[in-house]
Amino acid sequence: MTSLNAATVLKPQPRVTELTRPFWEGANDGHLVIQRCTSPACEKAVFYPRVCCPYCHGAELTWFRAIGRGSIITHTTVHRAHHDGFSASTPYVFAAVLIDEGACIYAEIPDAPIDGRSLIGRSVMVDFVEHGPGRQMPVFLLKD
Amino acid sequence: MSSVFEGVRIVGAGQTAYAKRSPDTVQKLLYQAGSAALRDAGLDWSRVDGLAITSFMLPPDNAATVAEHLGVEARFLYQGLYGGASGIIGMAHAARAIRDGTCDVVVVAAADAFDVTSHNETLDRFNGSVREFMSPQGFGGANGMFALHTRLYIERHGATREDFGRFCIALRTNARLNPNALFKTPLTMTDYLNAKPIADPLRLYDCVLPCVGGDAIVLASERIARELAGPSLRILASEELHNFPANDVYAVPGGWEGFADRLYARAGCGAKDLNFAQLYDDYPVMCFVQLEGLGICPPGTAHKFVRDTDITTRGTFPINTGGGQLSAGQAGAAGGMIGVYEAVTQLLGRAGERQVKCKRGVVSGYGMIAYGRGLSSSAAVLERVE
Repeated sequence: MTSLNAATVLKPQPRVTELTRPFWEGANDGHLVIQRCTSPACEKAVFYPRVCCPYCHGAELTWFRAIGRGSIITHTTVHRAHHDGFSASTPYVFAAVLIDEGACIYAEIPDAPIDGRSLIGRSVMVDFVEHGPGRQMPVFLLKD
Repeated sequence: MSSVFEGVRIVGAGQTAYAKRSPDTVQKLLYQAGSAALRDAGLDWSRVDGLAITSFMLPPDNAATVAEHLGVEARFLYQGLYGGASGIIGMAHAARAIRDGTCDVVVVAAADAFDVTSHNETLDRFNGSVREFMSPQGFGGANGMFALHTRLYIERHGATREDFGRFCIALRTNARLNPNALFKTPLTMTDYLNAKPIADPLRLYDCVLPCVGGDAIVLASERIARELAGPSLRILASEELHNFPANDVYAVPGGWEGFADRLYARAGCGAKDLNFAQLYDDYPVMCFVQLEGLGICPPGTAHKFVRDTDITTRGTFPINTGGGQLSAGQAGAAGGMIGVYEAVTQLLGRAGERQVKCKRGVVSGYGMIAYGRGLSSSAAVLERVE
């Protein structure tokens, strides 16, 4: 092989920090692990990972295993990749998913139709796919 | 009527030609845009004692090194960190500094030398949440993110692709009268609807082209403005709002609806008293959101507004009279100044073939793409001093 082609370029990998490590370790174990505020008056689910609760500003957040079920808020079929690592995957469906616990997670919907028909409100369930060396990535699959 | 920016005037505006490629550095573009704005005002760099600079590509340099590069002794510096909201915010900071007697003449400028690759690279490392929880997940860049907003707008309000098309086509019509604009070929509805798909429902002409360019304006104290031969403008009001609404799981509105009442109360006029709008047009859907947020039309009706209103320079309510970023090009952070440049040029009566009849107009900014939305919004109402 003399040159790189799109298929050989790695997708952008997350730069895992101390703050976000539980999420990525959970993904590698096949679980959607996110934060929740421990204040009894709040208890809101929080994503992306934060240092404090953005709702009540409480200092204590705990990690928990989300059920992994949700619905599609909105979506797009990506035809033009933002990174060479995704060029071989286009066209694919990318969505904002409202999980049942109340947080928004962005992810690919690998089994969704790419023809642009509306998927808003459709039920989805989390799954995990190989994203790079030692890295599992959450995606969502249509349930109905 | 007393404005919070009493004693401050806008006296000139300048713009580089927009280009797909150029060997020019950001410093050179800032110099060119700033020089053009100073010439427009009848001033020169020796009078400048403040700079408000925004550029994605400037680091590791900064506003102080730009002052050094250009030989400006600065009593006031601002470096915009809020993407396309930064130009207006910088103008407001500069106006407060002049009002408070900190400095007398400030060049407010933004420039970048972008292409598609550098745009995507910048966005990919824009902030921690995008870098870790959107980009690796395949968000499709800004195109993908605003495709999500566009689909939601269509679903909620019944807008059609043609509505967004009408907006983009009108801006192209305006760009044809702007000598600095990149895109001057007429755009038809057929071209628009059948263009290459980028991120459904967005196609090619919904998306800005990252390019090379710069824009600037000059603010001066009223004392200095009086020495000048030309007309000048007042900033009637300027507002900014970040992270509005906080903690909305998936927010489309941007900050404008959070400050519009206050903006007009301070300006002493309403949306109906405006002669034009220069909106932040990274994507047509965000212009719809701004039209609604700024009270130019009721919530959820911007698509009907553009069906019923001629927004070209010949129309009843002109929008983005120089073609905006959609047709002039998006020179990175200059996207947050192109509307300011255009508003000032129109109100000073120096817009040439594209001049519209105006006394007062609104200019709006938007930026800092983060977890699913732009966090920063700004807007200002400017008025010609009679």
